[in-house]
Amino acid sequence: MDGGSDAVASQRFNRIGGLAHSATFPKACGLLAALACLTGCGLAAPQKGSPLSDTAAVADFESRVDQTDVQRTHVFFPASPDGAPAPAQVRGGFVFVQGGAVGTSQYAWLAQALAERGFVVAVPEHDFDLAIVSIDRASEALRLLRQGVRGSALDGLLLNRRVALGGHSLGGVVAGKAQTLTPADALVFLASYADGADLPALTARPVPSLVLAGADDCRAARATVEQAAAQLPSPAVLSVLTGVTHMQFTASDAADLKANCIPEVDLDTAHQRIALSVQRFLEAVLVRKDGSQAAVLRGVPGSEVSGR
Amino acid sequence: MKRLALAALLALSSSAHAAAPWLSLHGRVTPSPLLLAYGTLGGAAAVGFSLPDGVGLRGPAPEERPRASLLGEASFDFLDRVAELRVGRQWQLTAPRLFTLSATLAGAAFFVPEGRTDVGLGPDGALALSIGGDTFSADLGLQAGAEAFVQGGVRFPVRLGLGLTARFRQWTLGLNGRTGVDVSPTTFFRVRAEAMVVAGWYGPW
Repeated sequence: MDGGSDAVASQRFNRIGGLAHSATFPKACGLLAALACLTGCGLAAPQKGSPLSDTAAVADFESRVDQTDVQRTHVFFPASPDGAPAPAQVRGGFVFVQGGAVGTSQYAWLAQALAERGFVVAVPEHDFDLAIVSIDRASEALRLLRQGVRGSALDGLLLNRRVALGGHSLGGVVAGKAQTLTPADALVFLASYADGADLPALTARPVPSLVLAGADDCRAARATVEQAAAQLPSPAVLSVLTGVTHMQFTASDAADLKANCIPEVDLDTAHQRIALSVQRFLEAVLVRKDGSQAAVLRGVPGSEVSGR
Repeated sequence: MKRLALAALLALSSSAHAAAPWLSLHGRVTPSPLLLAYGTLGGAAAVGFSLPDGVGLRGPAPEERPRASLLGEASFDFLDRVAELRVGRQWQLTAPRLFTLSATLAGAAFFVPEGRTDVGLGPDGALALSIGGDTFSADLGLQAGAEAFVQGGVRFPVRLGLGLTARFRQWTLGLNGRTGVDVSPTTFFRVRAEAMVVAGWYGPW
């Protein structure tokens, strides 16, 4: 473009932008550029993720919530070895809410395992690691998965796919509450159960649910979990994993051991069984939709399954 | 009586002030102009001023202690990337003794430049009790407001703050903690908490 056409383009821009004086234009540009640099040039929406294995990657997304807040969500997804999303491998989505005062990194093992099996898993961050203080963050993560962000790794990744919502411990309670705000296609409670106050809303709009409990859980007692699971609308599945404790749903069971709550199975075995249970449930309710969830969960080693 | 009514109105107000202010947490109107800067653990940085009535920036201190002041604060949150501007008027409701009460009425403006670009405006108010004197004080404040955003809707922040402030000649240092909720028709409530460290410089200069 020559100097003459530059001037014409500048005049046109001035008319469009309503900037009456040409001298104002560079000042306005300078201010906008300064503001853009100050603000970090946009919310994070990467096109690729950091590879976790040959078949999964993770990327951090940002979205604007609660008028002035930036929500950060870790998204694990099926990917090629270079971290590029692999849409052909995607079978469904899962929003996972962290347990109370447990960092989101403690659930990376589960999110990665599910991503390697074809599920896009969103793990939103919460202030103070307490999801209960901002229930809507799970809803925003659900929106992020369903709508994606144009031009990002999530663009069209879950097109026409179903998405489940779940959490561990207090995160499960929050997932139940978030379900009453923005319904997902299925619910997953890990060592957790729905708040009784939310049962009327959950019953009014039932979705398939899984309560996955540890038989040796010292924090969410088995009897309490079983009783609460019985209150969920059908179709609901309760699966109790033998020898598993509360913190074995996270990356470390050290807190249980310190509290003299001794698991009967080692952490790796517990993780394998937990991941396999969640994977089989998601496949049944999000992909096949054939009501086979109880049957396929019975095939998980060390599980006692009851379904309604 | 009017002062008591104003104080009661602010204390009982279901909506009123929110996000930035350090100045309105203070029960005493500053005796002379004050410039300050503060940072929060949440990633925000701010500058502010207090300009008491009848006190010039360069002139000598007045014989009578000021009872009202113009306040201003501008902050930027580097993690959430939000700019906030707040201007208000503070009145000292009681004589400056061991226990001193003040009230603030202010207006705030927000600019959200990223994602869903948005602007917000709203009134806010604060009631603060100061225990101590000009050299050292502990302040307890209640802040509440209403903030309306073009795209983001409305929220009603309510905060309870506790601050400790010490003055060394022309310098002042403070530590404040605040907690509260943002009540919103769409998201129920959001719990908020923050701590901030403040450094200020008293005039006249």
